[in-house]
Amino acid sequence: MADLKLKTDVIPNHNLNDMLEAKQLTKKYNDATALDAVSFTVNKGDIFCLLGANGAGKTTTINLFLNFIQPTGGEALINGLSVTAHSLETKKLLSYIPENLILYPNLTGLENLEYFSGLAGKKYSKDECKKFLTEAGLQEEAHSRKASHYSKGMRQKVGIAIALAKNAAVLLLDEPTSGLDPKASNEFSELLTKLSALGVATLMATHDLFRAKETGTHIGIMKEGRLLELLTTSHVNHTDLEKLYLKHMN
Amino acid sequence: MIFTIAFKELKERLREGRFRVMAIVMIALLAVAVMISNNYYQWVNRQHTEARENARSVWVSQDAKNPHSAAHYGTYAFKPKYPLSLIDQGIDKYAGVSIYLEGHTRNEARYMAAQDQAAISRFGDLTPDFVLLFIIPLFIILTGFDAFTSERESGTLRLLKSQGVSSVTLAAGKWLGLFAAVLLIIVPVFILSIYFLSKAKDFGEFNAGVLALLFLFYLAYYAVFSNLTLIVSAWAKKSGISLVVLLAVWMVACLGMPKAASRFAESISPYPTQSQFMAAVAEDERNGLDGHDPFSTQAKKLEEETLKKYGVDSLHKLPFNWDGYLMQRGEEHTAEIFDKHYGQLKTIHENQANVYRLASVLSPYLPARFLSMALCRTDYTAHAHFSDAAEKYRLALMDNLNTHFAENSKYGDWAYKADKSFYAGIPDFSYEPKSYGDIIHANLGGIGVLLAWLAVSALLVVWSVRKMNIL
Amino acid sequence: MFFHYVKYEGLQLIRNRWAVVLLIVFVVLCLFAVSNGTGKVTLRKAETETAVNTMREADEVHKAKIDSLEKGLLSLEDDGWRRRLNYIGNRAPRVAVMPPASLAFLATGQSDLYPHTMKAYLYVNIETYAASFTELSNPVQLMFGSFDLAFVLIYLLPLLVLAFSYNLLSEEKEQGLLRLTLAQPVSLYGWLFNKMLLRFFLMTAIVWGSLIVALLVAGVSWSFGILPLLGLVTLYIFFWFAVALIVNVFGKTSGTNAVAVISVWTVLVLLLPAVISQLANNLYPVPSRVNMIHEMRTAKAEAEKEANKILASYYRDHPELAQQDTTVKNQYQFYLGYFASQDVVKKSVAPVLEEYREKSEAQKQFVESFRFVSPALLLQHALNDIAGTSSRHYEAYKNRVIAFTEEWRAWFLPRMFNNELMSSSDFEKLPSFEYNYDEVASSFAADFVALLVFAVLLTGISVWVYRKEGLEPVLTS
Repeated sequence: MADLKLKTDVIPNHNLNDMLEAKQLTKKYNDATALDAVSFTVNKGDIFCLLGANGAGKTTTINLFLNFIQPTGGEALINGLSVTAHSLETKKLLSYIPENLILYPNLTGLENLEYFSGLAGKKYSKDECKKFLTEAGLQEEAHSRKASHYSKGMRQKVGIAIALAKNAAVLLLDEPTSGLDPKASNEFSELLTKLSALGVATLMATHDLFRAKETGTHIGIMKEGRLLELLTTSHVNHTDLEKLYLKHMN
Repeated sequence: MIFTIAFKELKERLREGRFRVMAIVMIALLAVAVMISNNYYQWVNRQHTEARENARSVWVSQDAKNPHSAAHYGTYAFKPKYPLSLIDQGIDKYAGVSIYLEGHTRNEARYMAAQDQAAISRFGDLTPDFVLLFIIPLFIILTGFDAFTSERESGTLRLLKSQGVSSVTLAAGKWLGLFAAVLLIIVPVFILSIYFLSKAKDFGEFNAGVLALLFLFYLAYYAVFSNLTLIVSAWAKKSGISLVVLLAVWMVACLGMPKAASRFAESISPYPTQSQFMAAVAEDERNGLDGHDPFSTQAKKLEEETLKKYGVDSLHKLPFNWDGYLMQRGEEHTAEIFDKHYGQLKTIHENQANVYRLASVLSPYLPARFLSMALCRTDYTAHAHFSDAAEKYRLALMDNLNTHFAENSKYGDWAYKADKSFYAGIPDFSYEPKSYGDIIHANLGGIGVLLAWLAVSALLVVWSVRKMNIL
Repeated sequence: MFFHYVKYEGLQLIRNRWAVVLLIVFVVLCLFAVSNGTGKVTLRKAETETAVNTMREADEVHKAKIDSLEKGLLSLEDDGWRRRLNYIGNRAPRVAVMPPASLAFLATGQSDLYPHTMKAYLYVNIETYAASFTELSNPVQLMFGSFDLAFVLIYLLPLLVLAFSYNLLSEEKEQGLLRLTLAQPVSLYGWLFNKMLLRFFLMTAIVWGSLIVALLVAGVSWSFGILPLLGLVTLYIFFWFAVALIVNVFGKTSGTNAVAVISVWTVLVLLLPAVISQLANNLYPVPSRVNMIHEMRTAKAEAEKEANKILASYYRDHPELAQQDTTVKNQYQFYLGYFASQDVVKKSVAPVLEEYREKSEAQKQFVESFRFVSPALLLQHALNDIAGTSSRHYEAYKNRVIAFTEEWRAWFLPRMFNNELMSSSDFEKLPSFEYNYDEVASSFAADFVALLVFAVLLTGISVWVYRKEGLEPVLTS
């Protein structure tokens, strides 16, 4: 990540540790407010979990960081750069894993990885790509099978491999563990912890309180577009977290 | 139950913007097509009436002249346009409209409209048959391709089945819903046609029964396409696949098969070119009797026989003008030759028609196409019937002229002139088209094929929905 | 970056069963169409060859006979051979052939309506001769049209192009792939454009390949004449990809896109031509041939009244034709009288014919100018042009033949008026017919430019729509 540092140096007034920052982020659709002045930061190596019911604004937040939608107010920054003004540059820094990650069914896992990292402007040899896949936990024999035969867990692993290959500084995850069996879910969490140790800043939307507590470093509870609570995971135990969550939901 | 489903289908469609736009476009196209065709029909008919009267008056007002000069002067027969051409123009623009009736030769009908039109017109014209035969099937496909696939994709199919609806009931309901949409479009058009047809009294009788039959044929044709649409929609995994497959079916049935069948028809039984045809006729004529060449061997033979029969030794002593007699015999002889060659053309056409009949098994468009133009009297049979009638009249006319010449003048008297009253006394050409009974009888095969399409496709619908994957 | 797409999109296309089947079917259809086209051309060549050979054989027979007569080996047993100028002029007509152009197999065009072999006689009944420029064919076939390469290119090629491109964006969106793609540092339009471009090159390569194979099969020697064809087809493919591009950019579902592209195809290939053709016929109707016949008859009736007194006045008009040696009776007397009367009739009928011909031509020109409304019409026009089967080619042929009958007559008339015999060496001097394709001006350039404008314009519109609509509707709907 040496090259990354070089870039960040030139941006003034920027805390080098703030990889993701939401500043009063607001999104309105006609009369409905999907996101209401949400602010938070995610540092290097942090895993920030957004908790909340359906429609709380979690996915909207992620869409805003991806610049898939335009904010009505406020700003989303990645590494100090506004995503609306620097759409392509910020996308070079981030990797994204949607709720149900789909790959090109007629390409193998390996080819999918090559294709997407190619889009990101990276060129790797076959062996290097295989290394990423193995690192992400995909078994050797699956590498050259068509993705149409993959389970959801396997596809998520390719998603992680894409992030690894991209050398991403930021990871955006939209309910990545929903629909995974407990073993796969556990494996996934371990991968996230590994990435976090490498200094990747992760923003994850999830319903899973248990995983959030286990994996996350910070937790934000959202409701109806507002960020109601910001917690550091090490400061709360699981029972308190659940009570707090249910209190806000009622 | 069936009607509940059909009603829901129709209601859903009528609320859909896409369907509404298509339906309005269809109705507008058909209405414009019918009105334009009606104008065209009136225009052609006026001309036809005028032309007939003119041709007759030119013939009647001939000065006294030699009957054989009159034979060379000739006259014209004009092909009538029938009221139902309002619906289907058939081959009309590719067939000539007038036949020149003269001595010694049978002429083809000349002046086909296609030759006076730019190449653009080879794409087809906006006539009701164009819309009825090409576009409405496409409309059926675009309306119904996702009949089952969309319910499967959204999961409502499971819901429906869990309500205890049988597959066949569901299919029947869907079918009725689709067909009702078609009726919505073509009923107004046929009503508009009835209005125009009831006003068009110029030529031939307007037969409401025939229009009703035509309407039924079209309904059968659309029913076949509705069936095909449901069959494919039942089998297809996704709406997109259903649409692509149906579009391919439409392409093959309406565009590919007719063209491919033409190609096979032509290779199995090719038409001679005009110059080959004329050369073959000329060849036969050369070997036969030339009414104008008294030195030919055939003529010499006839001369000897005739002299013997009348027991005289010189042509001058015959009780009639030998020249007139010889010409009539020559005319009869060439008539036989033409009869033979035109007969061959008809055989070729019949062979080719058989190829189209065979191809009808692969394309429901073909039987519908042929039935429609047969009933509208715009098919080749109607054209050939007229052409034959004109030839019959020509032969009678020539017989009249030659016999008059033979009986009223002396041998060698080429200066003989028949007076005006003789020409005026020769009856005018009048033409009675083939009766509808005969037309229907001749097209029973086509009707059978269309009904077979209907029956088989209906059975396939039932079978397909029974086998249909619900998930 | 483009080659990156080439590699992975290419892999997917090759692994897609449907795509491969579709492409193979298309190539097979191309070859079928070419075999139909070349079949027709072969027949046409054989027919014209037979006609020319028959004429040559007859010439040889006549020459031999005249030769024998000249050498006194044969005596004149009948008058026909004494009046041999008249005999040869009428019984040994010249064959006027319109040979197929080298790329005639491409498009049947109007070639099924007109003959390619006509005969120039001494006595031509103008009333029927002009009308006899009609090929004998099954009208049902004419109605259905030919399965030629033009059909495959004009009708089927767009559908193939659209099938490969209508859902490029919507499919990925529906599958959920698009979000992953757009999380990469690529622009949506660039990504879509690259995918389109790849398919465009693929399709163009396949069509070029099919065409070149077709040319080899058809035995056409390679020449620059084929470049316009390749250029046209490429532009046509370009145009239809541009249609797909616009439809994609709106970001609707695959189903909506499919209906949209089929509607565009139906309108441009089926409906617009039919509407234009019908409207043109109504707004600018073809002069009624039935009326023409009447006018012609009236003119002829007037002329015929004069016809018998004609010969004397004919000499007055044509003193050069008067016989030099007045001591001998002209043996062609009867025919000369006939000529003279025919001339009078022709003079009265010809203007009527000419007037209608001009009207009909004007109408055709007018309607053809409407071709700029639809690329399908442009391609049809250009293909007919390249194949030498357009209305204008046949009009030129017809005019050329009618002019040639005059030439033919002009060769015989003075000799007949001069009461000459015909010698065997005269055969070399007989006029012969030549049809030259270069005489018909090509309007290819206009069609080419118009197609280009269509394609570029649509691509421009797609960029504009993309700028205006942006990403949001694509990703959130």
